[in-house]
Amino acid sequence: MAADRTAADRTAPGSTAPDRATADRTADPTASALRTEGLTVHYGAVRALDTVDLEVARGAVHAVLGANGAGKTTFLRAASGLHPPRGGRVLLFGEDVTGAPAEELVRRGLLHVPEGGGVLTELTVEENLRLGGLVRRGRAARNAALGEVYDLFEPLRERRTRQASSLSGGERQMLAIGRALMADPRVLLLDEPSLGLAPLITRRIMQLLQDLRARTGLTVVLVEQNARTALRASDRAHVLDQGAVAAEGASADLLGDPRVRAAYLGL
Amino acid sequence: MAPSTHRAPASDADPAAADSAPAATAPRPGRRAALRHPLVRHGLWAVAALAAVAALTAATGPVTDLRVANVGLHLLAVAGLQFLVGTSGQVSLGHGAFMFVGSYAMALLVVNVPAMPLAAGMAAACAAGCLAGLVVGAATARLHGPYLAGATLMLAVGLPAIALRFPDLLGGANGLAFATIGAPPFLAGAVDDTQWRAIVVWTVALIGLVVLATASAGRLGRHLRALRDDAAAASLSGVPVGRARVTAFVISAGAGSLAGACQAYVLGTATPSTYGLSLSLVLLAALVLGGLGSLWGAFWAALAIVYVEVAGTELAHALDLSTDVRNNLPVVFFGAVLITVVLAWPRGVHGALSALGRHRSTPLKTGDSR
Amino acid sequence: MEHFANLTLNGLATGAVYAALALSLVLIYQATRVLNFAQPAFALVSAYVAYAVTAATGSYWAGFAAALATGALLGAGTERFLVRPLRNASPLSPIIATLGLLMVLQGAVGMVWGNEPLSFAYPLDYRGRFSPADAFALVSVLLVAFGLFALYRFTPAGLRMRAAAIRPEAARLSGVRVGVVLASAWALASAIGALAGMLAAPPFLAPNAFDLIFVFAIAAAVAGGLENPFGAVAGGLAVGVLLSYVTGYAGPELTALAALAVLLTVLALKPDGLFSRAAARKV
Repeated sequence: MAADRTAADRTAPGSTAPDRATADRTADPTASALRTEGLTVHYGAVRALDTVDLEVARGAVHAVLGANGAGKTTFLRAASGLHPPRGGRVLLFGEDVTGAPAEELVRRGLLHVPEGGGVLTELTVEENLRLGGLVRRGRAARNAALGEVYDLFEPLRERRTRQASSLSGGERQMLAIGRALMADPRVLLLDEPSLGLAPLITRRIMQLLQDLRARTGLTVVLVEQNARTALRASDRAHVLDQGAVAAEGASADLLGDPRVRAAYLGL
Repeated sequence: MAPSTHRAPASDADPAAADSAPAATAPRPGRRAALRHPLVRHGLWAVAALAAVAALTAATGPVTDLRVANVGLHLLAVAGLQFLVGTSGQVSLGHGAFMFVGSYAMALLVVNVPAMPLAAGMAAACAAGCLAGLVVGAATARLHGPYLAGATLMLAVGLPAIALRFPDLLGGANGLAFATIGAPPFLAGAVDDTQWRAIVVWTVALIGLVVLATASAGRLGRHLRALRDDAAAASLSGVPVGRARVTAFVISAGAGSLAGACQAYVLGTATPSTYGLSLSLVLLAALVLGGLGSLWGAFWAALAIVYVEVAGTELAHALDLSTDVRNNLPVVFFGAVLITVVLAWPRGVHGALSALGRHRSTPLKTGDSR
Repeated sequence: MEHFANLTLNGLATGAVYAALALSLVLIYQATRVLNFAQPAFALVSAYVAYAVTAATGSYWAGFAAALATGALLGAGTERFLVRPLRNASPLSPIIATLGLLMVLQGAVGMVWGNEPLSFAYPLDYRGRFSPADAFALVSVLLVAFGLFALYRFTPAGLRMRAAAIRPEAARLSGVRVGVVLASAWALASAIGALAGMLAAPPFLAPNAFDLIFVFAIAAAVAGGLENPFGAVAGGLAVGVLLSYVTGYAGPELTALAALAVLLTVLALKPDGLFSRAAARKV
């Protein structure tokens, strides 16, 4: 948490420099946004992920699909730094971040919205959002980010002083995504954002992700049980089965392949 | 409504019986059935142990006799604590308070009713302790974890202060002093006073242990272990949770106060400072060191308590350490033991207890509750 | 009536000490769900360090500062090396661990400085019905309480602390360095505990000196609701005043038992403490 300020600090008031500035300087411009090589994760004696190779291009929306217990959430938790992998590597814009804790990866622009949103119900809406923005430097940057999120999610602005526990499911998901956006993400991991939400709200969220991708070049990794929604919203997809990659490819292709549909997607 | 389907190992408290067939089977006719009964088994063990103690103290001098007596009474005290903490899962930091009750009950009786026989005094002290246990147990029955620990800590600090409140009756900070009964006249030649005291203490202690072991092996023990592992499930299975917990307190306090009475008997004094917070903490620490899962842990704990002090004194002499260092060595040692044990076995108390429960299972055990 | 007023004022002054120690217990419990039985030992060691520093430098306030620093260090160290490794263990383990630490620290203090009471200075003049020392105790604790409130409510650091305590994983996903934050919470809490020690130590400091105030602090913290700092402060002051009456009318020896009786009564009526909002988390 050193207070060293670089030039990038002043030129990019919204960013989470210096970590971001350093990362940008050393990053490989041709590298994919997120890549895992042979990622293996254990929970005690159980092998939850088995040598998963996965690559997500910059600015892509990438889906990770599979049945319950296939390892989708485990994959996100390993990628975001919540759970250290037993083997393999995680690369963020070409930089090896294997084993780095989640709180550090947030400063490098890797944000993970867990299943259910991970909203802190005892805090207010605004406190939740401000929490997400703490990695930004300077009050001006944080306030600007807060304004942007409120512009995106009007209902949150209306409820800013209410306790997060009083929000509906859809509003909580908005809050969770908003909180992640406060940290100026470059890669956003979303764990079942549509869970328990009405189709209308789900569509809005997917549309929002597309907009963000178009405007800011945000890379999105989407974990979903609802395969159809996810494949329609994404460019490419991986299908996990019992911790291993069972199928991968362009989303349109997967959606059109009857074997894949039947075997893994329940379609 | 019968409690859970799994059979509690009847040999939980008495490891020697682990290799014999479980006592909970249908009684077989004849003499062997009598031997299978937990009370008889424990009684035989007790008689053997008492004989060993008698032989040991006959061969050794007064200093060792005193230590043997100390081991005996601490064994009873810690066994009572084991019943409460290990078997019923109620972590109490107030066991020293119950020893205080017994010690002062004995001292008051000896001072005020000198002609009273020793056995009656012991019984009265035990009754006083049981009453105290009833009050405390009922008051704390709904408390768990840190709340129970906190409340019993308050008891450990607060109860001995009563002696200071009523200095005329209870002797104040200096406590009560009295002469204790030595060996009866007809044994005067064969058995000296210190040996006699050691034998008396061990007799009392072993009686207490037989009661504890039998209770632990019986239905109460099964109920307590069930509610220790999962109070909600036990309650649903028909275990009277509140009543069982209070009963555990009563029995534990009875054992503790009996141990306190023995201590008064051996030392000839009862002082409040002996029964402060440190004592309760050391008792618990020694129990954790000796093993929480069974009454055998109490034995190792008692040995540790007595001989850590001995070793500390000798170390202090050898290294020419000050009395301050020597006096505080046991507390520091046991505190370090607690920290080490907990860091080395992070699954901790319950984990070790459950693991013990599984390893001790008898062949007829049907289905594990875990 | 004058006697009653005296008792009340004295009760507030001593209650401030209980409030500070209770506050330190509650802060730690809020942050990590651990009732830190070693807290009075941190205060004890801190007070003895202050004694040594004051003896060496001749300055009371140097000792005071040293005490706060010692408390903070002990708190952070304990969180990092004793409590954090046990965060996934059974709920009994931190109790046993902090008890062990209590024993080690109290015993060590006895080894180094002996069991004989040492004469300990007051921060200010202690004479009078409500002396400057009494006022200092009350004012300092109230300032600390308000300072904490402001910290938690209005500062980013406070927000991080609340997040780390409520949902550590979600906090990590927001970039909060939960480990550092929790260690800081323990450090802050233990510094407040050290303040309580400095206020409680005079006129005489001995290894067992804080056993009794620990009893009262537990009563205040638990009765106020272990997760409510406001309850801890209010509880501490209330306990101080209550026990002042008990002492005034029935003698000082039974205060611990009185505190226990009050605590058990409160818990019987409100099992989660007087000021707690119904917490769904199981104790």
